[in-house]
Amino acid sequence: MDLDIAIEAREKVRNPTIKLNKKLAIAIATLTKSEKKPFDQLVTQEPSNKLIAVHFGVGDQDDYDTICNYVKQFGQNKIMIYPVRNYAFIEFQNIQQSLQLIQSLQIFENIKFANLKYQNKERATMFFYTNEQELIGGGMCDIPNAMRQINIPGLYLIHDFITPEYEKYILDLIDKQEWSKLKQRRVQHYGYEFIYGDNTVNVNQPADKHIPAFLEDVRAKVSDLIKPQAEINQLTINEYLPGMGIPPHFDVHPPFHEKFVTISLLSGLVMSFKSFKGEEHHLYLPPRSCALFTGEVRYAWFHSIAARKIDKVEGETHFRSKRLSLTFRTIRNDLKCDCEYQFFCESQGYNPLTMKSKNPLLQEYLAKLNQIGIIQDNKVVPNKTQEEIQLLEEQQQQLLQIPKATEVEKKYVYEIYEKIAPHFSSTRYKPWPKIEQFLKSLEPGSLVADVGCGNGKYLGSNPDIEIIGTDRSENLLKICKEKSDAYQVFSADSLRLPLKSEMFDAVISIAVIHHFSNKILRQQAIKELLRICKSKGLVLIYVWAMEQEEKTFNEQDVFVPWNLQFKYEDEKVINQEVQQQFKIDDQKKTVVYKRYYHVFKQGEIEELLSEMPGFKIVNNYYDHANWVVILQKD
Amino acid sequence: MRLLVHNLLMCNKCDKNNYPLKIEVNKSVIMELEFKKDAILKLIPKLDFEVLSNTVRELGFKQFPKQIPPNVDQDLVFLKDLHRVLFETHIMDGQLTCPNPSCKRNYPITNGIPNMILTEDEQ
Repeated sequence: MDLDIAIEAREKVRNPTIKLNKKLAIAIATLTKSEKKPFDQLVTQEPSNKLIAVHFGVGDQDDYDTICNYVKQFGQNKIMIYPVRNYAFIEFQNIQQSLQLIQSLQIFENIKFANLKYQNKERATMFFYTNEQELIGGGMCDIPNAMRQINIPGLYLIHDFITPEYEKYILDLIDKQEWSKLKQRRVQHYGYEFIYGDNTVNVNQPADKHIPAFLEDVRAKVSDLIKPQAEINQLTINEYLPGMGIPPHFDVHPPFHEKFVTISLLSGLVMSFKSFKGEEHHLYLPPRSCALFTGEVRYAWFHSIAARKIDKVEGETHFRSKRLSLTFRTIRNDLKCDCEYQFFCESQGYNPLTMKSKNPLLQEYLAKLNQIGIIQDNKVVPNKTQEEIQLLEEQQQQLLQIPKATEVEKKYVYEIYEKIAPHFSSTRYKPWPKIEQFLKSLEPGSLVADVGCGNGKYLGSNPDIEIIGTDRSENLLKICKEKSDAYQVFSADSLRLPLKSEMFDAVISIAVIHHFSNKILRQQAIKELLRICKSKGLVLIYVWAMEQEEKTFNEQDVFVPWNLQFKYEDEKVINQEVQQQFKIDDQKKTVVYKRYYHVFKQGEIEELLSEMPGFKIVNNYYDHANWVVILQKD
Repeated sequence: MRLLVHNLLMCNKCDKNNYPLKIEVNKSVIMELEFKKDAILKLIPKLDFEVLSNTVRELGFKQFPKQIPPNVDQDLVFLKDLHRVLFETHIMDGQLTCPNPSCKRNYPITNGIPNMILTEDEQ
């Protein structure tokens, strides 16, 4: 009997009908789930120049090439691959081309497919006509969007630290050395043997293997970089194949000196960082770059590499291939670390065995930070002159007094709105009823500021009150003036409003605060709203919610594309006569700009406000995918 | 820009003696607007009237009162003047200047829009 079942099961596996039907079922399930649409609405029987291909490779660069090459033979097309879910969207120039592709397919019980070779294995790729203009490609959003540049205290990324020629030269030699095998990956250690589990080294026992002579040039260059720290005397080489990673960890304090570097060879990948305060960042480490860890990031941030084959870098898909990392450290023989991050320092009371989940030292430290109100803790490291220390302290003071916009706001908010203003405005004409209601509820003769007024859609909401608008984008303000000469607007920075204090009966901030990339700036913007507001006056704040139907966010710091239609774009950009960082989509006739948002979790705006004085929250609600609060100044 | 906005604006490059900004007008226009007595009466206490009055007189309207007249709610002549000054006069082209002698930052007004954005190194 058991044998019969086994034979039957084997027959099922062998039977191509069952196999293909199973694949079809998977394809339908994948598409329905990722595209959030029933399958029969996604595909059509009628020939169309657009196709969905569901392929079953592993979704790496080779598979990408396989499907692209196959499709290319039927004519010029635009193909968009969604690697995580293993499907693709193909748009041919005309129906004849897609028709030809479909007609060339094998048919088995109405399932149309092509047997393509992925990783030397034939797999059926199915094709369906579709009338969709684009796909969501769900799954890619599970991967955090990494940046090429981030601001983490103590972390420096040096591009092109070594030349491609030198990279090739050392790679060949490294490969000839002996590798030790770990459960997950291969490693080489030089100088001192690394003890896994404890993540430390035996400082009394230098390894027999010294750092190889062919790496002397790079060792010397790193030693130069970390001066005045003692010279590099330990090296770990890790090999990461696609899909491999390393869990969050920080390098233990005492056996190593403060500064260490990691150099990436062959492939770039994304390294994730999480601070002791919970802040998270993802940074792309390009090939041949050198990441230098010092101070806070070295002592008090966890770093990790997610076990993935694909990364997302500033919105773009990045396939990993084999990467070697060279980590250079200096061993400290005294085993005494005197860093200021005692809460993670084993020579100052931290015990990883008993304090991993609950760390009283860290709680104490965080409480102290809160007390003195310094969120960004950047005490000056020694070895600087008295004047330098003073200068840095002044800068730090200044930074705390007047927070300034970062590159993120400049590049992904200010410049973008300037660029997309007319198109943006054409899509934002309908005022939201609850905001109008708020403005209409104010007493006649009230003086109101609309900070971040955009195209001025609320400036005319109540003719009995005076609404003055301000925005950073001059192009949006021009649009306000075109709408009505009577609208009163000026351009200004909402982190520092050029307005007298305590003048306005009400202040509104609609969809502004979520454009600031850190908490200090978000709080600064709110502080300014409160400053210009009168005692007992109201402040209405709208911020985009993470929890919403329209879009799914898997992280809070996101770059949302804006497809700028060609008719709004400078011809020089379209014709690619000027250099520009954003993608041009010839088929859709758009330029894809991206705007930065910090989407707010439920309760987050209240939490942000709980650290600020001088008002009470009189109302909070959810409206049009935004979290809303109304404050009354004390 | 109307004088109501001028009444609220200050220079952000410096933090002392940065209000009121001096006005230089190259072009101004009058746009008629419905006179609403109640609204304007409610607005008066919200203004820095001295600043408004000085500015108006500097710009050439010499008879404009230095202080809010008594029985202001009965004084239709004054209220209509104020309406014209606050709501109907638009400065389309000119510049604002910080009154602080050690700052003197200029802010241009173009097409009726003052540009108050500081450059990176001014912040």
